[in-house]
Amino acid sequence: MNEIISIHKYSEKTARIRINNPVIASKGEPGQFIIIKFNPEGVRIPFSIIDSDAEGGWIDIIIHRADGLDEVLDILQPGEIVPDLLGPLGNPAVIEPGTTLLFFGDGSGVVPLVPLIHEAKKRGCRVKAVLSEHSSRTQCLLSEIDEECESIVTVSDDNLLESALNFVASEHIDKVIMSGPTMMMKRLSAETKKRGIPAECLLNMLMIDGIGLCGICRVIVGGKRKQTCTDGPIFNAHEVDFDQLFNRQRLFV
Amino acid sequence: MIKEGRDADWRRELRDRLSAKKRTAIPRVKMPELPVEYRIHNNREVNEGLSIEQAVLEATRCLDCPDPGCIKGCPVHNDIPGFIKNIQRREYAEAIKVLNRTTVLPAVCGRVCPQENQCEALCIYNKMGKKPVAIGDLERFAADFEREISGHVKIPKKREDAVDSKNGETSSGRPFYPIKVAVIGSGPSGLSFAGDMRLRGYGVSVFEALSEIGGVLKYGIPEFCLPNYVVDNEIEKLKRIGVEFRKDIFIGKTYSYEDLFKMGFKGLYIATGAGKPRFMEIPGENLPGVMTANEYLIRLNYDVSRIFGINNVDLAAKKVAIIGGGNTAIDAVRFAVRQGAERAMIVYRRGMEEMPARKEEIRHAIEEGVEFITLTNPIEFLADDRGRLRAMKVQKMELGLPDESGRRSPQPIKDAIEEIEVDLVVESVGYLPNTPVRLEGVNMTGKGEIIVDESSMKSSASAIYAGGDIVRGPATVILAMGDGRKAAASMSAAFEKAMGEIKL
Repeated sequence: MNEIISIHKYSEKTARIRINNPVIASKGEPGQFIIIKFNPEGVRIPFSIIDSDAEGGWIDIIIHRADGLDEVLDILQPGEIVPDLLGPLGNPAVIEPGTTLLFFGDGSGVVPLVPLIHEAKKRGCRVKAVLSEHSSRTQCLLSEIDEECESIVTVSDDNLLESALNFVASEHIDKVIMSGPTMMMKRLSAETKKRGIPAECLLNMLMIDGIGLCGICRVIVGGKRKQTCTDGPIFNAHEVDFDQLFNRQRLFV
Repeated sequence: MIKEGRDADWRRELRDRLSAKKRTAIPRVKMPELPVEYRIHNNREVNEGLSIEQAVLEATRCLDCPDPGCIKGCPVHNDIPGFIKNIQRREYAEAIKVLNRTTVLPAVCGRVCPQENQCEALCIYNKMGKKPVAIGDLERFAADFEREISGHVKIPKKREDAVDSKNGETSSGRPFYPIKVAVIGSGPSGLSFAGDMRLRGYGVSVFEALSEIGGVLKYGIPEFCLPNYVVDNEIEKLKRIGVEFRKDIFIGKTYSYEDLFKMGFKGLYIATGAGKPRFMEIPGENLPGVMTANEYLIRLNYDVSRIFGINNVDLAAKKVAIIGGGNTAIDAVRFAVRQGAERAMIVYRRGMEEMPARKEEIRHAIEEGVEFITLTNPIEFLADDRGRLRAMKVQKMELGLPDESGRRSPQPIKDAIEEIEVDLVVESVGYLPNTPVRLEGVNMTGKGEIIVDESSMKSSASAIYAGGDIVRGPATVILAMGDGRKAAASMSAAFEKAMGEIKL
């Protein structure tokens, strides 16, 4: 249990870690996450479940150096046991079979979209994606999702929103699923709302316990306080108070 | 057993040795405490514990009443005179044995129980207008003595519960039943239930969602009130009698309740507690700089602040306000003192008298320089031009008529609104139940508390029992433990009845 099976380095900065955990492998669904402590004195860090195999009994996560995990990435070796691994947490994504979905990702937000794209393809959806090109994560993850996307556009940051809006304007899209910087999501959400296109956002919030005790991941959705860990991590983007979220995401104390 | 104990020759002899008049003339012991100027710079336990001579003298004060009120005041019915008289005759190991019959957490209860409202409130000394026997301090003494001594005694590696399959007993002579039960939550209620069921001969597995066993005893109560090694030691004792602990398992997510039955558990005890924070529901409480008591305490107790890189909870020269007057609020404000806060304030809407926190905690906080701003209720948190917390707007209150809790209810004073500058606000205004996920057939209240039959702690679902804060809402460690004991007694009676019927 919790043994690191393999480490695949996409680049110097990004790696996919495969961990043995048959329970989470059979229970976890796309959109859910786990919380890991890499050493007994260490901090609790949430990671999206990128892929899992119930038969093989493993789950995959993606670690990126920029998340304050420089050391972790250097130290981890196959065969090691992760001391604490809790999950699956949060709620699965809702992906209606046969629909046309636009995935919009930037920065660290690209990572949690990967399992949703896999799932969408599995469910016979038409998958389109707009991803930021400068993100090193995008570069290494492209190979993961390339085949599954009908069209995949990687653009510079400046054009990111514009090209997402082009998609929304020119093609029929049943739902937009976004994950990226808060203010970018705010604008895309507003545009989709204007056009009457359903949109969801996957939030990447700080978490401490991940089971609803601390309230640090709270966010206002539809005027009500929700916790990303227990009520999320995916919310109806049209109802999220992005300004409040943006203010909370800044570091404090 | 309690009555017989009192009739023992040695107990008579102790009673005859010193007249009641002389005993009652002895002043109540004073718990040694770390000096204020030292303790505010670290998290070391403030109460140092009684010395042997202090404990023996305090034990001498106990009159060993024929009808002791203290036992009635104890939710788990500890044989209080029984253990105290053993301390008086310097048989400390016997004292802890007496306690172990009814409690699995004596070192914890001796520290955090509100004895002043329970056993000590019913001590005969109160009727004489004197201070009651320091039962809590003595309980702690007995438990600490055992722990300190056991460090020097070799404990056999062999697990005590090795089963002798021939006669169906464990090697320690306890019965052994091939029945497994699961406990959800490793806080005081779960631990108490687990210990009792194990001693009754059942296999017990305790499931904990967090990475530390102990629940609120670990994440909630700070080191300076209840050191982690004390909790760990009680857990070690449970492991030694064969209780299995499984951390990082969130029942309802990692395994469903049905999974537990499929895994062969015949009974469940749900003790998931009440740790979901309440909010004040006032403008500005989602500003950076406003956090729940849980966030603050977990960050400090678990030392997870490194998740924020360099931005850990450094309060040097900061103004910190804790909203609330319960034990959690006082714990949080005392932490703020230790983090170097320039002002550490309790802001409470009622008066000092109405504050639900333990008097000792309040006294410690006052000594440590905490400011108590009472009859004051925040109505809005204000941001600076960068969008972070700058101050809070407060409404001054006055006390009106008593409300349903019997406390005089605070009423706003017209136009008496002030501003208090703050860098950090910690809301400690109560908790809601940690409602279990996907639990069918179990009736709950609108708030999410599990409804049980009070005499048996059994829920509306078959073989599912519950107790502690998930049933009663936020309460005390000892009430949670009392529920665990009660549930163990009734669940085991139900199993024994079923087994009896099978044999017939």
